[in-house]
Amino acid sequence: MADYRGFRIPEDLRYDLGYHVWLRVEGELVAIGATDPAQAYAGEIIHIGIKKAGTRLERGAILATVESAKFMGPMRSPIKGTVEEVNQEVAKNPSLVNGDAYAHWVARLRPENLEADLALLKMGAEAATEYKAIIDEWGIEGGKA
Amino acid sequence: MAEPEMRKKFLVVMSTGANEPKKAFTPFYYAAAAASMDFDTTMFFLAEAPSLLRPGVAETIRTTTDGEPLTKVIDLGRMNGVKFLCCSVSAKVIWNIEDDGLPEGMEFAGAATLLEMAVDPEVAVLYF
Repeated sequence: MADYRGFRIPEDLRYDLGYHVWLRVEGELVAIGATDPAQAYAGEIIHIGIKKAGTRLERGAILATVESAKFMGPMRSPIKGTVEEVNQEVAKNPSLVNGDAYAHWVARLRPENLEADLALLKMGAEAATEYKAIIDEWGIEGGKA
Repeated sequence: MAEPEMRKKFLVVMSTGANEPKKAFTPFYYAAAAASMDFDTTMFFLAEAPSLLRPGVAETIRTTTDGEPLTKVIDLGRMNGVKFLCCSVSAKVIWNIEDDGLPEGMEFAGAATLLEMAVDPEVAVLYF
């Protein structure tokens, strides 16, 4: 587990550093969530609107909309696929993502083009290295929602 | 009876300017929100609003002394894909903004552009 200025980047996950999401392959599905630095940048999340189950998304399409007191932005899908499951716990209590971004996936998708999409993502160690510059640029500190 | 289709675009028209800093943030924030919800979103600045786009102004606009500057929400909108159009008459005649004087990614447009967008049945208009 890489740690930088209080932020965790677990090495067993894959990351899209343009969309600031993590991805975990779970059998035929993939779980997707926000990264630890991304939740800190947003601040305490007060609302998350997640696309409904059955919604088909291209890679880069909006999977969810995240709102905090000082931020409003899209969470984009790092893969092409269909939303199979929405994490209702997160939908009802989105600040759970602030508490532990990696324990709270936002949605599970059934991928259509997984091998090609995974090739575009970074593995944990590489992502951790690249996130250092992003964390510095954003001027954020871990442990603050 | 079929359900009416949802509108797919937002047009955020802003007419308030640097003389009313407490009104400056909301239009940008709502535009950023609409874009982040996958709506095709355009902001149109007219009357007083181009005053916010003059060089160095947005950096100085804050709602509280320790608050974040207006540039923060402008960047948020830009990051989310909001398109920015500025009334060329207001900008050039009232606010003396040069042809190349708008912030990056913003363009001049005229009354016809605004009116054509506003009559599009797919567009919801928010006026600030």
